Amino acid sequence: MIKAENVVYEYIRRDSDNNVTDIVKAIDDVSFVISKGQFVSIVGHNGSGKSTLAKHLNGLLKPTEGIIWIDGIDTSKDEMMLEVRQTTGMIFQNPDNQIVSGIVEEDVAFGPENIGIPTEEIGKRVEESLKMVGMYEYREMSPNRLSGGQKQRIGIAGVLAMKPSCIVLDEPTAMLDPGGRKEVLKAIKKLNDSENITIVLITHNMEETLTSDVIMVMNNGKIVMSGTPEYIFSKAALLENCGLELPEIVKIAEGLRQKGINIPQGVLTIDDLTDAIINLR
Amino acid sequence: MSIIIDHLSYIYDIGTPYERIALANINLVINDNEFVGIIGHTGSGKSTLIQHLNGLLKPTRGSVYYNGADIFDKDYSKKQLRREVGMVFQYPEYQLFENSVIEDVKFGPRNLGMSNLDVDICSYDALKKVGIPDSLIDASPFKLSGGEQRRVAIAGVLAMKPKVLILDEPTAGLDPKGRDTILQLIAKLRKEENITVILVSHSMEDVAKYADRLVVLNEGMVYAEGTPQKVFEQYAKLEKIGLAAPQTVYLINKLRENGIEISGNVIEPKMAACEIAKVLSY
Amino acid sequence: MLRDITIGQYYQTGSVIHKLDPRVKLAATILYVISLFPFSTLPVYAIATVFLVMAVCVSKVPIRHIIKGLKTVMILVVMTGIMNIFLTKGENVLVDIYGVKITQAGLERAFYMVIRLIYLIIGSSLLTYTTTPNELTDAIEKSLKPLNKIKVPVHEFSIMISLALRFIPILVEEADKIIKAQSSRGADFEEGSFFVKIKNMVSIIVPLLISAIRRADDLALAMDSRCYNGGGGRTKLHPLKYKKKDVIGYVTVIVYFALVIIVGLML
Repeated sequence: MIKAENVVYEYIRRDSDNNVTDIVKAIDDVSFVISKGQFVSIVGHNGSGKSTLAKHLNGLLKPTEGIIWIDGIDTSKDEMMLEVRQTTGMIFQNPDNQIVSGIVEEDVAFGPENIGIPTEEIGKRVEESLKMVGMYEYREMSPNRLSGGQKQRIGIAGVLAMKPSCIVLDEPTAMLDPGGRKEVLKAIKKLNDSENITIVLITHNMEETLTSDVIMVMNNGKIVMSGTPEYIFSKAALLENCGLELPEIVKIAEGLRQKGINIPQGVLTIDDLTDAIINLR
Repeated sequence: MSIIIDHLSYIYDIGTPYERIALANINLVINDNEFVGIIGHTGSGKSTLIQHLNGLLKPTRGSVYYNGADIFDKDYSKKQLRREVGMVFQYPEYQLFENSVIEDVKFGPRNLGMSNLDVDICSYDALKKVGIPDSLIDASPFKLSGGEQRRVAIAGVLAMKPKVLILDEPTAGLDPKGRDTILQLIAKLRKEENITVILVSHSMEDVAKYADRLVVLNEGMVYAEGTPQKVFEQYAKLEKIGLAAPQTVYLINKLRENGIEISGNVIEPKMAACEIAKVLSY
Repeated sequence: MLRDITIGQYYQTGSVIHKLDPRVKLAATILYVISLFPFSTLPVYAIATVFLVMAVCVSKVPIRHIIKGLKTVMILVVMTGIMNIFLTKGENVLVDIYGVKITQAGLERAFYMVIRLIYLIIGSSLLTYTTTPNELTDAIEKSLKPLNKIKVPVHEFSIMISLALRFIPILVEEADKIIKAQSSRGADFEEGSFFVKIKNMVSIIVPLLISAIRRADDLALAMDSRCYNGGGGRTKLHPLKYKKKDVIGYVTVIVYFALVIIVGLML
């Protein structure tokens, strides 16, 4: 589905006189493969390069070196840009700044309108997409009257209406309250489970990554490790070095281990940890 | 010396089709040097409430007393109030506007009419407190990282030497490191400067760690109140309004259900590990 | 204060006028505005009043809401009135205070000018109360389409308007927030020397501009990632199509306009 080969992205920093002061490698020799239907989380502190990487996944940015393949298409080919953007949709952090229209259903229709889908088909897609994120009843409302979580779901519906096989979400919950966070996560989890849409979730909230298939940890533009949540969360020290933290339950398990109590690795949930503790009694 | 919120109600757009009750009869006392966490989901009235404490909104009914004086009295000086009660808004870095970090921090103290010397002293002092290195003091605030910008914005309020510091979601959008830096900074200020802190937050984990007392708002009313331990004990009640206790609380509860007696009120991971270890070693 | 700006904000009531084709409403508004200018006589204004009252009633937008919208521009109206009273020269001088003369012509002119302005504002705001920004831009885009042939970027123009309208409420809210934040930093927007006032205004305008630019950047990315590539080859969820009631709408407006011309010329 997505394949990155030795991707480097450099940008040039200039001082006030427009002289080059610095060349920064925001992404530094990154390679990975994401297969169809996977739920992948990319984590890292602010400035680790994760958002820059996300923008490469639907051609908003093009690698300075290396190649990114989306469903076999090289994203650096301008003439294939619309294909790429239909294949991987993108959701951004600020829900307000990605809604184009003053009416929910017209916003969802924006993408299909752009690629010239016939009117009747657009109507069908808008209805389907809104139903998938549970926002159909709000179709005639102004986005300004909706909560952050609802707006983000409208954004997701707008992407779904393009029938993508992958959705990249760049910190979609950072500006939401816990309720909104839950709504959005539930919606993307459902799309992953029932529609088999590949999900790439960029976040620094580790609790959100617990159910993903793969977590990739970024630091200084590199992927420093990648693996299942069980594996990633067993590397507490490395995570901390990357400016990240463990989910609460994993933190307790780690605290117990440090006290010499033999909690098995891979304990992620309340149930897991309760069982492990009961077994030790 | 304290803040007393007395039968405070606030109605938005009164007399229009959009009329909406934002606060309904709030009664609260906030003591000196207390660290109070205010929680509730979006639209529960948190922001409206704290804007009253700074005199930015005028109550529809009821009043707010600061050190015994009614802050909405005609004779009460708003300037004096803003000197004493500092307010850090959500995403405060979006209010930076000066060419240099230091000039931006000076904006508040200057508005209060401090002498030039005091303005300088307070501003440099505030930047030091929030951990902005000297090398950045003359830089443009827009060249700093997000976390640094936020600390500069907080310094802009601290430079006014407030006795009460109100913060609306000060950690929103920050990564774990940035968040911890800000929270530790607030805890330190409170300890060293003896200020009162009112922290509005979505994050149960944050308030669990730092606050002495929590006030849970829902639909403009006080829904629950007490120490974090006491409030999180009622997690079922919290869930009813779409909030939840920290994961640790649920774990401890589950252990208890399984006959493992954890003593005391445990709400954060470090303590939980200690208590569980105690039970296991006996 | 900023919350009072109700001009331009869509107000859904589900009335017949709301359901009309936006092109009909656009044409009606333009014709109505034009009809207010050539004749300053009572009969014509009586017809204009009846037409406006009818339109307001049919639209079901509460009168209170319309008046609230008027309030924000009332200063302009009053100023225009006063200027007309004092600056119009005429023969029939009614009052003369130290050389400042109020003439009958001045009063008459002020009267019509004020009424004209108020009707103009109500009439055009009725358009935006009953028409969503998107419908409106659709209407403009479709009506101006012929201009595309002479290389006028009609689509770009219309999407610009629709985005501006979408972000006005957001930026208004943001301005409100910034004003509050700077007030809590002791900024006073009413008192102080000229220099201090300017400085305090800067403390609002700079953050607001930066925010607008940041939003524009974000929006451009979001539109790009949703395959936006200009007006070519776009389709519509709700293409504009005339229905029977639109024909009735056009007829009503044309009858009104004809009536104004006839009455204006005859009486």
